Amino acid sequence: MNRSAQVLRVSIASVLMLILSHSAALAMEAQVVYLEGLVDINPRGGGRAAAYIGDEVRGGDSVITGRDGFAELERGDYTTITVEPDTIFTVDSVGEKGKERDVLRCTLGSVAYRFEQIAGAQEPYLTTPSAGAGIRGTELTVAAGEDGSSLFVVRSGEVEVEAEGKTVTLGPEEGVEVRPGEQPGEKFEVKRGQIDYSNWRQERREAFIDDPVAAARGLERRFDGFVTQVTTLAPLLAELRRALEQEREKLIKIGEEQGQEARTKYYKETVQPIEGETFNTYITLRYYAKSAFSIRRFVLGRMYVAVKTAYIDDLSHSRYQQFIKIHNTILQKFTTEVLPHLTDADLM
Amino acid sequence: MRKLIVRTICFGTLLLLLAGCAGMPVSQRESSVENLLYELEQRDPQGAAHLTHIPFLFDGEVLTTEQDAQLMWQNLSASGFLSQAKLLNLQSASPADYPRFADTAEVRVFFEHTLPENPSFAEIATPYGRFLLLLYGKKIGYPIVVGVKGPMK
Repeated sequence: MNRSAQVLRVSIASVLMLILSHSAALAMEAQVVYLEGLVDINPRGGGRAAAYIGDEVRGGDSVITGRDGFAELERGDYTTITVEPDTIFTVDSVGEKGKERDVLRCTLGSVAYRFEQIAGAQEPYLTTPSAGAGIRGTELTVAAGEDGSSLFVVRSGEVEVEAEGKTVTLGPEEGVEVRPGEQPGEKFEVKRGQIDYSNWRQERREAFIDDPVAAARGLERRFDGFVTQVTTLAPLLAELRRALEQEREKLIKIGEEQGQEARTKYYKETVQPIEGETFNTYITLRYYAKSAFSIRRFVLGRMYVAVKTAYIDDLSHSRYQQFIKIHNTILQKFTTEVLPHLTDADLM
Repeated sequence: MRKLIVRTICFGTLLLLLAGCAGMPVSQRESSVENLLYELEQRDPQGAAHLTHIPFLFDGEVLTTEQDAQLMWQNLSASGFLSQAKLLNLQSASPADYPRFADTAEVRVFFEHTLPENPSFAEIATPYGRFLLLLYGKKIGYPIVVGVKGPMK
């Protein structure tokens, strides 16, 4: 076999491995078991359509509910996810300690989760525009407001809410609020049924309308955090890809000079770990890029339409001008730092 | 004989009218767009949101929820945005025309993959300047709003 054919064979094998790994990353599936009102599924790759009972929600897909929409999803491992009205909920994944971990993102609205603890199974990671949460056998509700704030309320189990380098551990009947770009606030006690999430969302909407500039600044801080991760990981990924290419060339040479056994040994000991690291870095970078995109489109987008239409009769107003300056700065960073790591399918 | 000629002319005219209706989508008919502007002004925000495609564009933003549409019409109605709106011109649109809305990757992808059938650009004059509406198809006889951009310089 000539050298170029060997390079081709190794490349095809690697691509297949990446595709298979990526399929695993998209393997998280949930099924729509109940719905009311307007509920759409926006699949990864576009083609938004009305949801029906029995539809599957896969990795990369979003469930978007209307003002009267409500959906209940179930996973095979006894997880129940309830998507409340006017909510954007997305299933994603992130690379973590050499494995992929499911990420469930509530960008706007509120989502209630009930997870049954399964021995050996890794619990998903929950995110909102302002915080992330690790869980252990938990029943909780997560709400995301129009100003980018979020609220975590635990019914049972334990939740670690993390934002801006600070972690707050919540036990049963405890909650915490996180403002965008800030650390979690003080945790508080919550009696069952005490919190009205639609009231909380209304309060956050009013706070945003009162001071859209402060809300946009907070959102920008959070967005910047994701951009920093993207810009840190991008050169690392490029370096890993270069190293992988060199090692694959070397692998072919070893095969030619020392035979199949030496080639297999070199692949397992040297090439395979770099392939794994490259894939995990890629998945993690994509996770941060998609998190930044989620803030940019769903939260900043709604802020923009709310603020511009409110000031349509006076676009020279200083508050509108301050808001638009922050908006444009976020867009600029999005275009230069994040967009190169997204595909057209992500933007649909 | 005369009766037959009159009938034939009437029937022919009716056929021509029907053919005209079938040939031109409502989003590209001036009278339909003018009716839409009137209807958007008359309806409450929820009613106006029903005449808006989800997802839709607002300047360079892709808005994805029903609440976004209602919020937009609620604020625009409160400002009297459509109170004296006049249609200035109407042109058909195509995916290649995305820079007319916003020259960004997101708007390009929207035009390439999400833009519904028979799209058109309607330029309107409002009390707050000239705006560009992106319209498509029909719903109960009206075109549907897929995008709002403005005020244009």
